[in-house]
Formats: sequence, structure tokens, C-alpha cells
Amino acid sequence: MSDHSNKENLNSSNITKDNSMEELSLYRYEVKVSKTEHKVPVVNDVHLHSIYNPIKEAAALIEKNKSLIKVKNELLVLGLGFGYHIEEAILLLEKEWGQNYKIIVIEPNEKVYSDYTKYSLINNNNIHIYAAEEIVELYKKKEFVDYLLNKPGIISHPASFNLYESYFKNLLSYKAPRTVSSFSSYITSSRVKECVNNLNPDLDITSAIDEKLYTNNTSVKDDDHFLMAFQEMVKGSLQLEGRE
Amino acid sequence: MKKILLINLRRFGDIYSSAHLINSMVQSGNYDVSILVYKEFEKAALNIEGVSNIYTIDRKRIITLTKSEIFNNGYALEEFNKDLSTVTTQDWDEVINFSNERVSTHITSLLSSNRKIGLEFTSEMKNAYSSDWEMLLNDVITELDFSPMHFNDIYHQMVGVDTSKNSLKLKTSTNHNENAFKNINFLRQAEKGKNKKIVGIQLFTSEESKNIPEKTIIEVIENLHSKDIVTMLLIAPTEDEKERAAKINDHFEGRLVTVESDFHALTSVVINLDCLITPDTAIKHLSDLVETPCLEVSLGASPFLKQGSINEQSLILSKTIEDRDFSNKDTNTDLRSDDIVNSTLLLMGLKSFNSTHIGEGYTLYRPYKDSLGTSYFAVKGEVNSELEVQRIASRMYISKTLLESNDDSFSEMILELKGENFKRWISNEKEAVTRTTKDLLGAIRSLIQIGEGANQSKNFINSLGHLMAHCEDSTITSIPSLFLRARLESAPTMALEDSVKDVEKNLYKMKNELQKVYEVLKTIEDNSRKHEADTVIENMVSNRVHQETL
Repeated sequence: MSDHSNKENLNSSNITKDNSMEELSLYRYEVKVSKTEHKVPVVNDVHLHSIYNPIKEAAALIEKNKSLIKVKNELLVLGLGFGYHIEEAILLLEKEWGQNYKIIVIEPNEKVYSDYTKYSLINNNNIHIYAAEEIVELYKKKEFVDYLLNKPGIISHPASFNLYESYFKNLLSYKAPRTVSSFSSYITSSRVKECVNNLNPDLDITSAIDEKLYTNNTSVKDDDHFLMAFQEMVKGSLQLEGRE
Repeated sequence: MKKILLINLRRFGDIYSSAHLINSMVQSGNYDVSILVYKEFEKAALNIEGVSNIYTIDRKRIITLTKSEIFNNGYALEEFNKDLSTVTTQDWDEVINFSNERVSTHITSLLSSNRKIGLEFTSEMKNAYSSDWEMLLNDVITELDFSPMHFNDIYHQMVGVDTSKNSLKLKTSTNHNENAFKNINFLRQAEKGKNKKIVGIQLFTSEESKNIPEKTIIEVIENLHSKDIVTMLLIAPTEDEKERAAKINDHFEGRLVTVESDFHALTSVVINLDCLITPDTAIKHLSDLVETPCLEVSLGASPFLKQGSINEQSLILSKTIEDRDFSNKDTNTDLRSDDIVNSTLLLMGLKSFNSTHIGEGYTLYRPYKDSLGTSYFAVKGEVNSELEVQRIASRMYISKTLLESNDDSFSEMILELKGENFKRWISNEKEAVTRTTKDLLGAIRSLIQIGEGANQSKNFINSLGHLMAHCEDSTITSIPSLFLRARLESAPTMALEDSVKDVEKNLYKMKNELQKVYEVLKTIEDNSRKHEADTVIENMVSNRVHQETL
């Protein structure tokens, strides 16, 4: 399920591709055992779960988000740890939604994730974990984007969030590149690629279409009608919203 | 069987109103119809009977991908392409651009089809038409203050299909039908020995200028209740509508029945009503499709002459049309609840036609059918006979030019309506024909001089300018003028010599059309004289009989 398998080389020394990844450096990592005999990852001296009772702590977190889970059957969980809160979320989701639910978990730390797979008993097709993904790469994944478009409920695992605060804040406030030249990493269809090829790569999509098709008296072709239909639809909707 | 794609990128009401055309095509047995709509309005499309496939564009999703900063806009293009490829990867026998706006026109232009019906763009981004009906829809009706034709009829003419009267229009479920019948019958017979009429009231539209004021709705309900009529408030399942309905219901201490349902269930409810009172909404079109009579209260931006109710059992209450500009700026309403109640009682046969009174400043129309389709006849209230006569005369002209039919029924209707200003109207119209013809001949003359090599282009442009000014006329002559403008604007770029020939051909075409305006006016005038003479003779005979009897 996880996309982490090709990320084995992302160890503590090379997860430094952007600022937010710096905080992922593992100066110190260990796995402790709680009073209730549950394993607890400790990253840079931060305990990711309660050292007394991780299950009780996880149940309390999910209880706090009960009203959210009642209306959202899709969750985006920020921070995996060893997944005790995920287990609790599954229990509540299955109670509310049967098998009709999905959880995507973002875990910035590869080591935590690999130990989670070692120790966790969760084996559930409704869970998808992205581990140690650079934010920019995450937003290139169509399935992740599609998931966000469905407006999932967001639950943050407090210990993980605090530990990787900068990473998660950057994830939530990410600004995608806007110029036409950036599209190549995001588009797959040959038609769209062809359409985009003829646009000014330094402009955003709206300005590029305006420049190519609304300021020149050039002959309009099928691909141009595609772009113009797109442009008119977007502009029309923004006008309806009073944004223009 | 022709494989058809009908593109309708407008809202719920337009999707329902396209069901008449879809029904006519499907009933003819010659068409396999698929439709393309925005995902957010698919709910209405799903209720239309006889549609083979519904394709959607998820506009909201694409807009989110475009405007949200977290997503790269490449995704938005990908999504748009994914949605469109469901129709662009197929070959169509005919594509109908029903919604006739810019997005649908670009999509029509890029599709592969043997025939495109409705507007498409040429490679020079000019409007391309395949018939005068399309031009009438796009460039003529849109410019007229008072449309002489209903959109539904123009679409039927564009496609070349007769209006079907057989019903196969909306899907309903047996379960919803049974529940609606049971519940509404319960209300009907709630008081022993009584069988009450049930009136549905659609409370709101998405456009504020079209709404019936809340105070008026309350007065209407009170008045109908006092006449032992049961009312049901119809609302969409949204928080806003629930809140506004609750406010009205508070006035009645919560005793009103409010029906909150999706479109599918709503069809069953509307079928079981005796009548519906509604502003210009999707439900108005729905009631047409299930043939439940409705009183359409046409206010603000609601264009009833183009898209009003077409059920001949319905009525339309409008501010006198001379006081309307059919825009959302037209928010001043002195709408009286008495007018709504009187119209509703007339509609349900609870009040006689003669005793029905409509107050000053409002007109009650009834839809009727003639050889062009549906139009509206002013039956009560304040009527500007000149405007009404001109609207019917315009229909007569369109019938004569586009259908090549000499239908006398238009003239008969005009004679029924003609008031004291009839002579002034016909004289104005004739003067307009003379003036326009004079300007047309001037344009033809200067064009011929260009063709003969004289340096007359400035003169020609001036005289064409004079001629085009008649597009603004409020007489029938504006119609041939608007047609000329549309033909000239859509002409492809060509060599000067060909261009001159093309313009000349269009000017002569207009000359023929002006001749037809004149013929229409002459027929009306002759019939009027004959009618007057017949009336005089009838009066003389009746006087003589009266005297002899004495």
C-alpha cells in the first residue's frame, strides 16, 4: 500500500532537500516500551506516544474528533507514529461507515514508518500511507490530489505534528508552481501536452491562453478551442463568484 | 438512427426545458440522444426520460484545481480533458449546441460531427450558422425587447423536428408516486366531506430579482387558506431555503406543509398538485413537463416571452411588458397578492373568467399555440395593445420568411387585440419600412459604385451605417436589419471582389425581407379594413332587424 518502498535510501543524512525536511534528521532514534507493553518510537528525544498508555491516549484523540468522523468518511491524518490513533480511527469509521471509508496518513519520517510496518498489526486496504515524501513530490501524485479534492477531514497526531511542525505547515500551506513550464511534471495526456506546448512557458495558464488566443488574430484550431473552452469556463465561474 | 449529442451547459431550469426537444427527437424514433452537462446540474438531467448517455464536466472540481494555490494548474487541464474526452473521442451524426454560450460553442467547434446545430466558431472566431433559425436565436431575438418567439420552438426548427405531444418526458419512481399521492390525498381529504384543492408554492429562485416578496407570499397563503385551499411550500434541501421557509411558516405558527425534496421526488409531488404558483424556476419547467398547470409569476430577469411556461393550461402574471427590461436590475415590484390569488383561482376553475380582475400595471397571459409554436396572449389586466400587436405581427413576419407560410390566424389575433392606437401603429410600421428601404437602396447604390471601380468605399460605409442603425428600431424592420448585421458579421474574410458580391447578395436578401414586412402590414391593414366594413354591415343589419322588430 505504501509508496515508501522506493524510498529506502532516504535516511537521516539525505532527507534535507527542503527546509522542512531538515527537522527530519534523526539525531537520535529509539523504540521504548510503554507501561502497557506497547512500543513507542522516540525521535530526537520526543516520545511519539504516551509512555504510560498509548491506546488510551489514541482513543482520547479520536474521541475529540468524533463529530468530524461522523460527517467525513475520508480522513487525512498528519503523523503516523506507530499507528495507535489510526487503529482507533478505524474502529470509529467502521462503526459509522462500514467499509466505506479511507484514511491517508502522512508520515515524514522513513525510520518511524519502517518500524511501524515491522510492529503494527494493521492490515487494511482502506489505509494508504505516504512516508518520507517531499512535499513537492506528494503534490505531484494524482491520487493524493484527487483525495484532497474530496475535502477529507484532517486529524493531526499532536506529537508528530509538533515534532515535524515545519513539514506539516509547509504541507498545508503549499503553493504549487503556477507557470506553464511547470505543467510537464503534472500532465500525462498527449492532447494537453500538445496544447500547452504552444503557450508561453513563463506565464500562468490564464495569462498564457489570453496572450496566445485573445490578443492575436491567428487562425483558431481544435486545440485552441479546447483551451478557450477551458478559459471561458474558468473565467465565467469566477465572475459568478464575484471574483472578477 | 442518428447519434446526437446535445450540449447544455446551463442550469437546472434550462436542462429541464431541453427535455421538450429531447422528447420530440426520441419520440420521432430517429434519434439516439446523449447529453453533456455540468456535473453540478446532472441531477436534473438524470430525470429526463429517453436519454441514452449523460456525460458531465465536473466544473467545480476543475475550478478548484485552477484557483486553489496548492494545486498545479496542469491538473485542471488534465481533468477538463478527461471529462471532455468522453465526447471528443466519439463521432456524432449531429451535435446540438443547446446552451449557446461561449464554453458550449468552443466545445461544439472542436467536436467531430456530420452536422452542427446551433452556434459554432469558425477558425477566424466568427459565428458560423447553418440556418436562419440559428441566427434568429443568437443574433436577433437577443436584441429585441419583446421576443416574438419562444426558444423551445426555435430549437425544434433548428433541429427540424416536430414538437411531440406524446409524453415521455420525466422519470419517476413508483415509490415516490405512491407516497406523494397518498400524502397529498390525505391533505385533500383531511376534513370530512371535503375534497380540497392543493396548491404548491415554490418559494425561491437563485436570482433575487425573480423572487416573489416574502410578504406577498404570506398574504397569498392567508388568502388561499381563507378559501379552503391547502398550500404546500416547495423548497430545495438547502439550509438557506429551509431557513427562509421556516420564517414564513413561523407566521402560520408552523402549520404549513413544507416539502423538501430532490428533483426526482419533486416530480411525483408536482404531478399530484392541482396547480403550482412559482416564479421563474426549474420547477416551472418541471410542471410543464408533467402538465401540471402553473401560475408563473414573471418578475425581474425572468424572460417569459423566450422561456415561459408552455402548458396551455398555465397562466403567466407579469408586470406590463412596457415596464419591464427583463434584467436583474428590475427589482421594483408592486406585486399584489390579490392578483396572484385571482389568477390562481381562475387557473383552477374556481373563479370565472369574467369575474377575474387583475390590477393596474400587471398583465395576465395565457400560452397558446400557432403555426410557430407557443406564444402568449394577454387575457386580463393592463394591456399595451400596440406592443402586443407588434409581437404578433413579428411572428407573422417570421412565419412568412422562415416558414414561407401565409398564416391568416396571426392577422385574426391582431384584429382581436387592435385598440385605438392601431392606426398609429401601422402607420409607424409602414414609415419604418419606407425609411429602411430608402437606406437599403442607398447602400446598394454605393456598393454598385464600388463594384464599378469608383472610390466610394467611404460612402458605402456611411450608408451601411445608416442602414445598420435600424437594428435599434422598435418596429418589425429591426428583424431584417438584425439578420443583415448577423450575416455580414459572420461572413468569412475573402477577396474584395468576392466580399462585395457577398454583401450585395445579403443586401438584396434584405430587400426581399423588407418587402415581406410590407406584405405583412398590408395583409393586416386589408384585413382590418374588411373587418371594419363587416362590422359596419353587421351593425346596419342588426339595427334594421331591431327597427323592424319594434
